[in-house]
Amino acid sequence: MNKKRMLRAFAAGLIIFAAYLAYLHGSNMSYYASFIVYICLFLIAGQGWNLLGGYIGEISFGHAVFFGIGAYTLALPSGYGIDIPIPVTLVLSMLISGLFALAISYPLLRIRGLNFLVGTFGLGVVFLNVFKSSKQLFANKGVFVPFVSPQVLYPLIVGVTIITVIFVTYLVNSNLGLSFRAVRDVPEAAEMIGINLYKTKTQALVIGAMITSLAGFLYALYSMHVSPNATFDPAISNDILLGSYIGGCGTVLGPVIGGAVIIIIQETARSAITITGGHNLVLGIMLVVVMMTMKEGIWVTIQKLVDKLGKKKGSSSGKKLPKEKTEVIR
Amino acid sequence: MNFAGFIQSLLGGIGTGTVYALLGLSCSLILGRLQICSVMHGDLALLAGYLCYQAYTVLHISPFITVIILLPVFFGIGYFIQDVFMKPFMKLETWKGRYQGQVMVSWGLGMSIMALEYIIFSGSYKTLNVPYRNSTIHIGAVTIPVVHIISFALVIGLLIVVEVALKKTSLGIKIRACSDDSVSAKLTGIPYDKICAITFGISSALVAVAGLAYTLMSQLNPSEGFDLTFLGWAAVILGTMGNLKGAVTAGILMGIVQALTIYLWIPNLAIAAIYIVLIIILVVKPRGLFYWKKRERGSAA
Repeated sequence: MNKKRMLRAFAAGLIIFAAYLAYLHGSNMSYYASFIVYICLFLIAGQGWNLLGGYIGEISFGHAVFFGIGAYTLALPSGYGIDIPIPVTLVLSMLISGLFALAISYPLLRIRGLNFLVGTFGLGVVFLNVFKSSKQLFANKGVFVPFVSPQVLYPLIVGVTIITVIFVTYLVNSNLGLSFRAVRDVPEAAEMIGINLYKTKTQALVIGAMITSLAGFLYALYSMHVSPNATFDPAISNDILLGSYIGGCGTVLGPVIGGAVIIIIQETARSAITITGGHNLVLGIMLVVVMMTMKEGIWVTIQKLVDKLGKKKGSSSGKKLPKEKTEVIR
Repeated sequence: MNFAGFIQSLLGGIGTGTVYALLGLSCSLILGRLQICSVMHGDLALLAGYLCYQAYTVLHISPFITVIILLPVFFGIGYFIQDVFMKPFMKLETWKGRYQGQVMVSWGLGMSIMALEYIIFSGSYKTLNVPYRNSTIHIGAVTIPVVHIISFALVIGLLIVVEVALKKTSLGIKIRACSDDSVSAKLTGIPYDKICAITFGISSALVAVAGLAYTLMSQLNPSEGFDLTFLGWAAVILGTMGNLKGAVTAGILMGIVQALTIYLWIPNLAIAAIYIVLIIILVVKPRGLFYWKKRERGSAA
């Protein structure tokens, strides 16, 4: 099962990579190239969100904070004229966001549920306003980031996406990932066998924050300019969250599919409804419909449908025993 | 720092805090009591505000009359939302899918309301220009806007009405039973789903009043709805889940924090300061300001 899932993730990564290369080599369609880059970035960030939001079930409304920390760790030194090699800033950004996540886990994760939800939303507001209003952090003007040639950057982004998906697949099937799911599904039993609830949640938050900051870092490299409105905007948190939920949270490929769906739908809605904010109508209705009809997201529903179809074929050829067995296991 | 200015900003803070208190009151009723998680309350409040605005500018109806008309309408909307969209998730346990699902569904609904407001009323800021909007009362060196007094009276009045109704009426007793122990409540024959829907309706009606208070004090913009919801939730958490008086007190405290930040520190960080204070308080008291370990069950009704 593990190998199968790994293979699936790898195949998905390869497909994205192939599609991307096809577009890049096809013609001067830079629009589609940037489109795929955005999908990749949201995908990485969504994987980071999914560790805590999907596997443990604590919804975060403020993952843009970690996204922004990743972007600003790269941008601030270059804004002040300090030259730090890019790999060092990469490690630094992951470290800083991890430590920050550790710090906020104490007030927000000790009690189940709402503290974390409201607290993360609040942190998003705090960071956006602090970065917007302080001149030491370059306020609304933003910072320019050192240039990296696209020949290096594009493969880097796609490569990091694939590595992230594989890493998360591995993590989720490891002992730690199993304890995540135990904390979500049967917290009492998990506590009984010696899983520390608060510690497990904190681990998920810290690892997720590091992955999300990676997305922010790559975004800064890609856009070459970092500003509060582009990195700490609540819209980013919302998109990360929506992608994971619509795709199916608590699965590896859910955020992958959800992120792509969200970005494509948002772009088409934006071009179709020209009134400011009108595109939210499409998103909102889609969210309601998805949540009402398939509570576990698109990907899980598709998986179940495929399973059902497979079973029907199996039963028609006379294999009745295995069918009942699988049902019991599920 | 002059003393009169400090008192002035303090009173102003209490005035703006009443909006958060009203939001907190309505959120506390469903979120703290029945653990129905809806993030659309801010959008509902804005919707009520826009309807008041439209009624006043087009038909010249006083916003207070509009709100009295809106109370049953919003009760109906709330009942409908709970009955259709939130009920499927009520079977699940609170932290195992119920709150996630309800947050998502209500978020989608709130987003749709926001988008409709954008489409109908456009994204520009709207101001409800009632004649008494800028009139004030002078007490010594301090001036108090009439709007703040109205809003404060509304909060206290509604708090008393809701508290008494929860304690004395049979509906209130049923709501308390459902919130304390839903299984036993169902066993004694209380229609749990119906009570939940009614409570959601009451909470929606209360949020219409919050929308009126908000409209009288600040400008309307569709994007504010989501922020308003979270300010209401912050009041609920700060004042301990399920404690109505606590939510109202916390809402007013948040207003004071906001006003003092504007007066003493950086005006741009007014809303941010509320959340900073919230997180600092959660470090010390993770269950909110009004939580004591030996609190009897239901004593904060």
